[in-house]
Amino acid sequence: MKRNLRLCLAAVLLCGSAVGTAHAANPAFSGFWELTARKAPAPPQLTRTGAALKAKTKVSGDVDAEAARWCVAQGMPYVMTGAGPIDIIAAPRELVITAEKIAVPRHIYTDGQVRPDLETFDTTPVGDTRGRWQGDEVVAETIGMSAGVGPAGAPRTEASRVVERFKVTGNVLTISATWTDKSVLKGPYRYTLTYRRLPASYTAPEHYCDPRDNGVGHP
Amino acid sequence: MASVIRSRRHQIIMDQPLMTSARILCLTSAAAVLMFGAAIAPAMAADHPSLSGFWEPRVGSVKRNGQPPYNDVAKAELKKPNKNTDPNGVDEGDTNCLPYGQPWTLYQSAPIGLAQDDREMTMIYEDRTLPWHVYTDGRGHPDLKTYKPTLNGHSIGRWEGDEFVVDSVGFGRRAGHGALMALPNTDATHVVARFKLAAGGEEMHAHFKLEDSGWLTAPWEWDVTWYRAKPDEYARVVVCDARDPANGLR
Repeated sequence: MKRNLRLCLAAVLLCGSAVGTAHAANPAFSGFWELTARKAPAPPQLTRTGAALKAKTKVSGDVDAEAARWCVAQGMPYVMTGAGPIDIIAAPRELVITAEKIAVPRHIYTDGQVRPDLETFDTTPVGDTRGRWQGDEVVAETIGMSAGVGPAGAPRTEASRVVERFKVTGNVLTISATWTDKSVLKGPYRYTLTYRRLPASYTAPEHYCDPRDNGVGHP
Repeated sequence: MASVIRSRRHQIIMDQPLMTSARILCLTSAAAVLMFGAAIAPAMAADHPSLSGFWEPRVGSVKRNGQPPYNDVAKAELKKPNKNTDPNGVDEGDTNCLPYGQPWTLYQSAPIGLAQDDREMTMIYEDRTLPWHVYTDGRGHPDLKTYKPTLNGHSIGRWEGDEFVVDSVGFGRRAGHGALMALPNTDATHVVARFKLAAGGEEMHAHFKLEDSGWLTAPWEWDVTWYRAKPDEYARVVVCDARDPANGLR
């Protein structure tokens, strides 16, 4: 009897792990998503260093306005908040997120891949993101971001860390995010993004940016 | 993984010939989990090979059969100074960090990232990229009379057996980004690419066919081979800043 139960447990666990792998390609996450709401209980509270850094940068929302005028691809969190509808592709080993405007694509590795050594990792505007499935939700942690503009205009530094929880309910995607960075934030900055799924027939437009056209170009 | 699960189930059944209550519970639980797993598994993963992953070209990856069959208009255009014929020429794309377009961008030095679900295949080049969306949901091309041309064109994909066939039209005309690189695309630019896994999934082979009555007297065809990156490989982002005076220097 005990052996039966052990075998049963092993089988269910084995099957359960298979389900976890299948979750990595959960098709519910795939699609084009349009941001419909952004809520934060309070604005980011900046440290003195954070305020000084912010004052040095010409910020517009989550964007370095001067860099954007020169068509420099933006990163977190702009890619999720202001770069137009996002496209999530639920591939077997990762979630890939692309946006329509000048933004660096994101790769959320969900297959247990080992994070690179940050001593040698070249920081990027979107950093390095590793995700894991918790039931039907994806929890993603991002570090290794380069200095730039963070959420709500707060500075983003190489010490910034953001944890996002992705959840799909029908045709609604919700992302609950928490930013931490002791050098520029007095405490965690939390916000929630809500998206609606766009029709399956949606075609992504292309925003070709040419700095010679004041940042507004065409192919 | 499915075969592993099946083997495990068979092992359980063979080990325990008697139908005990524990075994009934076990099989019921396993069946429920299997059914749940099947329900959320994407149809595409089961139906077609997965091209998802990072792919890198190597020296010799691109195999071309001679020069493109240029028409007289193209030959005259190519005699004009450009970055390839003028040693002092400047690549305006490099100096201004303009994005690269397909198919040329696919087989440059940086790896490409492919992500595949049951709606589309998205291809990402990590340097000065715009995502290339290849729609696989059965849609056709839009009316090109009203379609706003794009750098990567409008692309639709279909599976022919184990071969992924991509048909692209509707390209923009920026100089330096054409399928012929030195010449811009035209209204007639039409690219058909056929991708297929090889060497047990460690290589991806593609055959490209370019038609462009604006520049060519006949279709031009070539082959490319990519090699799958190691499983722990990750995207390495290159951000180009047009304010950097070092851009485009050779």
